[in-house]
Amino acid sequence: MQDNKHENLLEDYRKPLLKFLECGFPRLKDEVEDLVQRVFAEALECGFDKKLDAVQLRRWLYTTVRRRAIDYLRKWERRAFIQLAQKQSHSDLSGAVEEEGGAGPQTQALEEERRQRQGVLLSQVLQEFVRWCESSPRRILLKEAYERALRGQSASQIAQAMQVSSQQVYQWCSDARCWIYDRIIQKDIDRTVFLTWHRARNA
Amino acid sequence: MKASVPQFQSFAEVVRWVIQELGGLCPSQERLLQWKAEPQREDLRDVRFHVQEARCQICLAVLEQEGSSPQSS
Repeated sequence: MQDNKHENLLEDYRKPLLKFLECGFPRLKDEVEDLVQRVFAEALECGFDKKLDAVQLRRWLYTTVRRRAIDYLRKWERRAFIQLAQKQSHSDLSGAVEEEGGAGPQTQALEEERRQRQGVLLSQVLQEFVRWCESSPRRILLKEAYERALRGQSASQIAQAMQVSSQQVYQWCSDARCWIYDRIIQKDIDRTVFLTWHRARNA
Repeated sequence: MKASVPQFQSFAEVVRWVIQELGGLCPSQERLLQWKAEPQREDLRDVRFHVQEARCQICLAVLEQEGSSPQSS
């Protein structure tokens, strides 16, 4: 009877959580039922439905489904970078084949092993960048300018929208790119994840 | 039917996807809710752009659920 009460409590959240996921993560529309069900199972397993009060439970459910959705998409992000790196290294390997008479199984195994170590993803680095900007009021404008640039606005459009000079916009965007690039260099030691970026920087 | 992994042809496409669908530039939840309470605050202008102009779907969904919950309805 008591268990039914707790299950009903979770069921009250099913529709709102499904709607939340469908609105926030439309690409996952075919996965949302599974995601919510897994989070409910997690809540029941950890006893959160009994340990937490209604407000805490609600916060935990929304935070957790959001995290699980992003985790799910990050697996895709990883695969996307691997695909891009593979395309790049295949063209590298074809060059090597011509020069050295063929890439042996050892080279290919090394490449595979390097790809396995690709652990750092752009979304994580960007989130760290956002936290860095948020830690100082001076960097809020830098963050806004860089987001505008990433979303396709030109320097003059950004300058006009933010009522600053284009020179200031260039400086902010340059600072942002340097911070992000340095962070990637620290983490992507093998330079396998962001091949294109490294090459563009070194060109 | 399971969703399929998007096919990207360039790094720029991945960057756009990371920003639009993975919330790569989303503000912290705390700042997002502060902006909801005080939308004109100058120190939250980046959040205003992110939500109102860029229309981040993740942040909009968070704000919407904050306004309608089983408890508050």
